[in-house]
Amino acid sequence: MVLTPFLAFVLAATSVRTRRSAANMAMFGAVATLALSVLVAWGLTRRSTAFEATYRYLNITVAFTGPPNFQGFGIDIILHVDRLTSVALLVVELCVIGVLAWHRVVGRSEPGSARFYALVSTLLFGAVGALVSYDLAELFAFWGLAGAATYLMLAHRWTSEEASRTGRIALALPFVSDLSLLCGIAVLYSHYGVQSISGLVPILHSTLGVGPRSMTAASILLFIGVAGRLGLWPLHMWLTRTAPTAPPAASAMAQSVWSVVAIVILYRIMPIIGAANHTTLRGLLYACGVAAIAAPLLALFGNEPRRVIVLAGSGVAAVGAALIVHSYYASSTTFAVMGVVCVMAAAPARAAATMAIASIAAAMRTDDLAEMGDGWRRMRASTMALLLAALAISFSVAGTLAFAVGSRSRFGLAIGEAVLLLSIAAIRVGLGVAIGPLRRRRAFDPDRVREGPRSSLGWPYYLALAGAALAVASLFPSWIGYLDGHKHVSASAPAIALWAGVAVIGILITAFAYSIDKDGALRASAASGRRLDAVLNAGAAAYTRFISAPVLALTLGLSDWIPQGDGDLARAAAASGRFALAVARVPALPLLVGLAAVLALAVGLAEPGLFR
Amino acid sequence: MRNFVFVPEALVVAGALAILLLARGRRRSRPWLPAAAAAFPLVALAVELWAGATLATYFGGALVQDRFALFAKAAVLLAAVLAIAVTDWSEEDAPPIGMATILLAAFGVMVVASSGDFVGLWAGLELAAAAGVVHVSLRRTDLALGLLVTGGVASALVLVGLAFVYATTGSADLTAVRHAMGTVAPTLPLAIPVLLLLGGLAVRAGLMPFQFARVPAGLATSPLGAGMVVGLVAAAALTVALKVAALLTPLPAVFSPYLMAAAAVAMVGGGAAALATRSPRARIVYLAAGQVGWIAAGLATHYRVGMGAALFLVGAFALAATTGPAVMAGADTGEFALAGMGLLRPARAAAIALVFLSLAGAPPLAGFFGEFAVAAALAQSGAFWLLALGLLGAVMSVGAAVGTLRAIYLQSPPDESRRAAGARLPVLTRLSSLGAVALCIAIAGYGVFANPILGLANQGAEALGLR
Amino acid sequence: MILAAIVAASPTPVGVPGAGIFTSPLILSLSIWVPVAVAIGMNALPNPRGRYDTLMKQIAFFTNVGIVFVLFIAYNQFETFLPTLQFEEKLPWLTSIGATYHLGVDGPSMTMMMLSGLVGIAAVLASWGVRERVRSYFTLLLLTQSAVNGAIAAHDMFLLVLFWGAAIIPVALLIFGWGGPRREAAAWRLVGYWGLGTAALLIATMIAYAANGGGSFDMDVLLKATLTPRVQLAVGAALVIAAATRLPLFPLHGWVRDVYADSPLGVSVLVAGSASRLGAYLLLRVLVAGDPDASKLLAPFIAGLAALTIIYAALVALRTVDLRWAAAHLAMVPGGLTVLGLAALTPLSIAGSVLSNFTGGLAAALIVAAAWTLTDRAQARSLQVLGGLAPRMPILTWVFVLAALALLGVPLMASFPAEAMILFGSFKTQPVGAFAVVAGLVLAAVALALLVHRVLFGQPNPDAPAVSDASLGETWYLGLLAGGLLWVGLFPGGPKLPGTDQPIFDPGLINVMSAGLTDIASPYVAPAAPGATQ
Repeated sequence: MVLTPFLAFVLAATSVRTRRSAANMAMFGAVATLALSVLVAWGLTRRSTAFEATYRYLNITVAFTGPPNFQGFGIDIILHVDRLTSVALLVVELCVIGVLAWHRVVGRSEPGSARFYALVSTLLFGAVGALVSYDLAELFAFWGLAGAATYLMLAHRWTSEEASRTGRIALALPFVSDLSLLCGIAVLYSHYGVQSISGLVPILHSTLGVGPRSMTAASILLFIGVAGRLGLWPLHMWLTRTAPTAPPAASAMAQSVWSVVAIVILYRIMPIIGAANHTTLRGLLYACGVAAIAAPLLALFGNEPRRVIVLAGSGVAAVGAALIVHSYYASSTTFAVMGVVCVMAAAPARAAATMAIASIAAAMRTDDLAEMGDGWRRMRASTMALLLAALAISFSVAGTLAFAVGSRSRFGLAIGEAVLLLSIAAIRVGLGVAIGPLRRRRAFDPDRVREGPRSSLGWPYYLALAGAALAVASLFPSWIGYLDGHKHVSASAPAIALWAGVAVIGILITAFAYSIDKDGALRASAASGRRLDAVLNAGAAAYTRFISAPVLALTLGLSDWIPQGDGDLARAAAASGRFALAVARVPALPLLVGLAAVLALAVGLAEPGLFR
Repeated sequence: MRNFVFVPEALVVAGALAILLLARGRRRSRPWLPAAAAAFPLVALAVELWAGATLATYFGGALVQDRFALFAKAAVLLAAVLAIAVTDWSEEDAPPIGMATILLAAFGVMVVASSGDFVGLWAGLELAAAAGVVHVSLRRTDLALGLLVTGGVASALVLVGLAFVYATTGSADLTAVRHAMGTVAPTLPLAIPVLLLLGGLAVRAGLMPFQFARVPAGLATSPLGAGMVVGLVAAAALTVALKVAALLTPLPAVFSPYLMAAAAVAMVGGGAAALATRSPRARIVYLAAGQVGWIAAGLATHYRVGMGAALFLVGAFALAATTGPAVMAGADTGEFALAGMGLLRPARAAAIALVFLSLAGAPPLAGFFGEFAVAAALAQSGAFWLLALGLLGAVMSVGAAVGTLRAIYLQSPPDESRRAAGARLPVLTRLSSLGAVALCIAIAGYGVFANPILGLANQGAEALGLR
Repeated sequence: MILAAIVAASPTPVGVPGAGIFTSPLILSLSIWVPVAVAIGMNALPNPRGRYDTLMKQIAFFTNVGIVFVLFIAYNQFETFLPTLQFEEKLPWLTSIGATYHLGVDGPSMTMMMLSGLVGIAAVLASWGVRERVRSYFTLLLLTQSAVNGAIAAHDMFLLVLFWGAAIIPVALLIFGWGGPRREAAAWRLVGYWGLGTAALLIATMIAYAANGGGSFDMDVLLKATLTPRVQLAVGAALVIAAATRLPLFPLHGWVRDVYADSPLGVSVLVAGSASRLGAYLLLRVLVAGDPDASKLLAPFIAGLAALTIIYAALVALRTVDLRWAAAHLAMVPGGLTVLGLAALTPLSIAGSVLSNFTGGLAAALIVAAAWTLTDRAQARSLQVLGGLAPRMPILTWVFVLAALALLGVPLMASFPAEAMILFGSFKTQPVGAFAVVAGLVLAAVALALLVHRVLFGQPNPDAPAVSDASLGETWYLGLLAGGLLWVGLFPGGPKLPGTDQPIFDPGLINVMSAGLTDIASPYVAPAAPGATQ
């Protein structure tokens, strides 16, 4: 299951040249992995314990004395598949297959298709590997591999200057968070000498010499590492900036695959993060809460539809992360799985929405929501898929919140705001496309707007449906119990109605506003978006002026000064040599006679009785 | 065996006289003469190595045969043999006189090496220097005159110094003086004449900044003459300095600081000058000056290991500095003089390269081993500042040597018109090729067999009464 | 009589058992002196008007192949559980000052020997295009390799200084003779910096020698002597200078740019791959293994140098407009990482440094060689001219990307376990340095992404000269370097059949390098906390 996509990558990288065969190879790898995952999942329905296989990657003895944990170092490839993992695998593979199938039709014109499909296989390999990893070093290995593939996919359109600039953000920002994850793992290892998650959890509190500061540092680093790939605000920029410039398939996969992988890993390492003190957990919870509100709030600023979809999805991911952290903060860890469930439900919907809006934007030849409209009549299938995906995103959290969060707590209030905002953010794209006029523009005739190829229309729809199905499933305690192996009581109908109602209110507010004055609402969004961009640009300019430029100037100065300095040293050596040469040319005789006279005088002075 | 001890000296002198007499005869080309001239010191070297291990004293202690004498004589004889063999005699102004003078210079060093009193030291040194002056005069009488006068003043300084030491200790016999020095206090009246003595020796050895006449003479005379002035005469002066420093070891205060200062100037100045100059001949002269600085640094340590290391380095120095200018022959003027030598004269080019590297102290050749031994002695005596300066000079020297190697192996041969301008290719003879190969083997072998050679040098230092 | 004494005084080596079935006592001497002998032999061969130039190349190639074959047998037969030196040779040399001809390898040295062998073959293959003065070129190349092998195998400080210094002259001559437009600056800088490093190494040696009573230069004696912390500090400082000039570390890296960019390709590969790695090896072998007090005192300073090196190199690579200069600076990155592990002074970080020195050598050689070949094939070095080369040179594109991934320690490359071991081992003792190094890696990643984008996948430049992909020979040596990185990355513990724990064919670099590591790391083992949980 883990190796199949890797083999597909090797074959694609070594022997495949044409676009079609590369697409077939990647699809074959993904489908084969899905089939194997289905087999594993089917096996898990018959047993409650996880499948586990361990292979020794490296093992070295570094000391014969000292703490036993630090006498050796090893990285074991522990493949551990429990029910939650198997479902996450299926979701990831479904998203990849759906997007691949869509891309092989819509992305015909993408350059370097063989490279792209090879990278898709690498991403799948890394994602599957990370999902089944129980050794932290192994986890980072697969994580890093998937990260590298993601960057190369997002920056796939190298020839476009804009794409390459945003591609650099897609490299630097997640690389920082990935290295933060590595640092967190390193801090843990340097104190415990253990990397296996199952081996680490029992000794978190029983190991002497590990202070709260170390645990806090490790927890924060691990959380930042996961949050980066989860796309939580403010670490979401690698997704928002690349959404308009990267191939839509790459953006869709980055959003859906990474959100599932990251939330599952957060759920898995939460016992480690949760071992930090209460204050740290509270800080992390506040961070998640702020991210859950900020991301969808920012989605109301500006009219770039793909950015809005990413931010709405980021809001869902933040809510999921907040649910997981809150369950440990409130010591009700059985609810942690709810965070995973809602993000897993939103993932296919995010991919579907990204694909649908990409088709619509391509057909309507604009990235501005204000210039879109009349999609319901002209591009019904894509608009339908977009609306369904938006609804799935809006309602993905409702069921799980009904289980996990009381509406009367401050946390509930904050999450409620987040749900309201993200439902508005998600649906405003769907409604913005679906209703209102599609106006004639320069070199654009609305009557020429058509759906894309028929074979590409179904996939966004199916993925949106899958997301909706997962969202509905999250209402059933048996499904949640199947995932985490705990018994859950079913959520009360009023709680479900309350949280679903929040989303409905958001949808109704948006529908009302758009039906009254869609153009005015979008103008307001555009104006606020421009203000936001101005603030961000000012920040970027300040960073360039006060940090980046001086540091680079200093470096360049040094790189010029050092060769100049050693050149000066060489010149000084040559000058001293010329001086030595000159000494050899002094008139010999007078100097020697003078020297002899001086010495004779000295002797005379020194010798008793000669001058005295 | 005892009677064989002076056979080498006798052979060398006989060879010199025979060649001089031959030179008086009817002029006709004698292609076998260099081989014959080289045969004398070669046989002498063989006899020295065979019989030289015998310890003996002659003429009431005026001449001694000990390990020091064995080492110094063997080194200088080897240098003389190889210098005669590698010399391009078509470059020399009066080949027979040149051969005789180098043999006489070698004899002078041998006398110094086995002398047991001041007279022998002075006589041997003067003999070697006089031979050098004669050879220089064959091409440049003005420089020879300058060398003579400078040498005279240097000789006067040496004599004044020796006389004061004699006056202080009441004896001219080295053994007696060494015993007497143990009872003398280090005073200024003793320090000043010692300063004079070492100053004179420094002038003779061309220890910077006292290379007044030696450098111009070394640059302008014939190749073999340069080898004699830069190598053999300096070796004679250094051998005297070794013996004098051994006498004075009970009183390091009267000579060690001076030697350290002179060594520092020589090591750094020699390396820097070698780096700055473009002429291969000048470069070799300054590299030699730098290595003389290392020897002086070894003497400044004033104990057996340092003296042994210095003696070991004197051997390497004599070998390289004497043969260096000779092996370059006429191809030593101007920056491009050696260009393409690697292609045109491979054996000679290899010998030139090894000589430069050895004088620069580059590993793994004779000079490196000597300088490393001196460095170890300096470290043991705690003179790290001097070691650091020496290494600075060594780095510059290696840079200079690399510059020459680059010309030899990487630059294309100059066209004939430029050759006519002065950079003439050495004549290729069987003897010169053989000599060049032997020189390479000697310089490399000096390091490979450094263990017994350094052991012998240490025994030599021990023979000077150092413990 | 004396001659007889001289001959008698030159002892012959004796066999050393304990290194598997391959117990040749001369194996290390062979790897050092065979290239010298072959170099001399090559010069003795007649080669009128370069008629036998190809033969010279073949001789150099098969000499390297032979050495690697012998080394591989030794590597295969290496006793991974033997903490002592293996294939040891010990002869008296300068007995009166205590210098011996003492060679021997433990795990880290064996790893370095294998690196030197692999890089040697790559360097010869990379030099296949040399047309002028072929004999001299390969003579100097072989001499350089023997000096590098000697410095690795040396177990006596006298020998170490000898071989360390001996590498300078042939490399400088190679650059003078076959270098690019800035060869003068490159060669003189190399002589200056490496000469300074040799002087520093000699001073460190002499300080330790004098403090130890001047008995011996043998590492067994010199490094095990109990020196006062002050002396250790002086020795350590000098060693850091020596290592910083060779590896190189900021600010003693002045030679890197010109040497890597303007040397002939084979020389760049050799210097980046093995000769410069001696810097970190020196710190490990002499400072970390010999002077624990100085190592602990200097650790923060060394970690700072490591971080500065990586950050500086990445920033320069970000701003430079010359691809070779950028690659030259990026080749400093693995060295910084290796040195961080040596500064962290935990058993794991030290082990990581040993592995990192191997992988860093391959990665540095690969990035320098890839940039060199790419600029050569594209007939331009400026990033303003190069662009969109990927479709026209797919092989070099793959190699360049692999080199970038190896520099960053991306999983599946050998540098990943090394990086993980160093960082895992560093966070407890050098957290600030480790974080700074990580920040530097981020900058290096951005710089590499910029290069990859501009040069390989960017907008093609219609005015640029014509380009062509790597030739077969170039593919071979680039593939050798990349293959080494991938092989060790996939099988650091050696390839094992499923269900078995015994590696086949290759005992595993990790296993071989661990021999003797525990001894080196023993002074740095943290005391066991009472009641610590396993």
